[in-house]
Amino acid sequence: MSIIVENDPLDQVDGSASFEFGATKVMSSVTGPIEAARPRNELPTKAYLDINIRPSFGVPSTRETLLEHKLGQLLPAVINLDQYPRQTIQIAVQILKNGEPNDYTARQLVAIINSVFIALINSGISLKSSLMATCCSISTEGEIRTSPTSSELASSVSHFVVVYSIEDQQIDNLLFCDGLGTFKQQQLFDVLDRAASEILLNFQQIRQAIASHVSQNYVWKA
Amino acid sequence: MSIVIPGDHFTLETGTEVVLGPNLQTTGNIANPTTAGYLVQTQTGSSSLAYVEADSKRYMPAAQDFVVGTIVGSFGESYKVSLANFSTPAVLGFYAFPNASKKNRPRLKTGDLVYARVASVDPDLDVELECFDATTGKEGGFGHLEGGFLFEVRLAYARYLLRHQDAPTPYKTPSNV
Repeated sequence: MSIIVENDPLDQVDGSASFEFGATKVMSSVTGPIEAARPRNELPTKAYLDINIRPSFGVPSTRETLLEHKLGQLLPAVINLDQYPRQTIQIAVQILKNGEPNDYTARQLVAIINSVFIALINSGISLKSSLMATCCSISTEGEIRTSPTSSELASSVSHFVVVYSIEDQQIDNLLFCDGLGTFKQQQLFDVLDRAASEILLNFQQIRQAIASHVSQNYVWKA
Repeated sequence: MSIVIPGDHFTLETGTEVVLGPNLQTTGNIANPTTAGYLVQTQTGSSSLAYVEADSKRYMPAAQDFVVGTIVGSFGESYKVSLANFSTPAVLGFYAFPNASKKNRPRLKTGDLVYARVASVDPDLDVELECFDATTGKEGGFGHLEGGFLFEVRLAYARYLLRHQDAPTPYKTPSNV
């Protein structure tokens, strides 16, 4: 999987990042912690996550709402939301290249999760750990493929999005796993194993991108 | 100095007094960075200091920081001061100025700039500012800023300028503004 990461492409937000792998590209921005725009979004003990996902064309539909919901399930596990009571953290995601048929969301969800993580790092919001997402598919012959292409996805019997947290450069916890299609229990375990080694391998690239951005922000330290 | 990211645990020195700075969380004597940045660990005498030097755009108030804020309104006996756009405004009391009294109160208008010190920060309360020197109670350069220009810079550069008297700064005023 070749990854292209761009750090802070947007000027007016607190943190942003674009993430591209294969035919899929997503740009994310993070603003916050800011004052709650609506009183009902003010949670007394933690920050409210305001997530907005825009498709590459057309207006947001139930598909984007589903992606927002999945992202909203994952993020509270990594953000220290209790450090920002009554505040709002706005996350805006723009999909730039789909890279898969409209019935699928796997590749886009992977790009969204990874770009939002890098944007959160750039915004300085307090995080519990690092994380990375990847996707796998199982072909009709039962072969597991990591980061499947559009045609591989369309011909697969099932596909998965797997997110692991990374601590001390090692795979730590399974944060999120979303599978669609038919598969056996052993196949799911194999997918989780393959995803873990794939993430461990590819996270080096994300780490490198983050590190070079940090040193760029401190040019006078060099 | 090494660059760390969230999840890169490291062990703090045991048996010494450890002062934790920004962007670190601890469980026992294991520290975990909460964002990406340079890990700074220094030892002075019996106490050691650890923090993560990280850049960001949105200012999060911390006690004893020196800040430039914009007056955005007043309520009761205090001003509301904006330190970052769309962040919750800080509070600057009318009596948080040197020699302030009921008769001698500061006259600041909405849109004025003030140079102040962050007096107290609690996530559950408003951030409080003060415009006098904490040790002497005198003016100490704080208060209303008149003339000049306000530039927004990244926080890491602002901290660098505060700590380095000899830092290179753009000192030439643009003539055609």
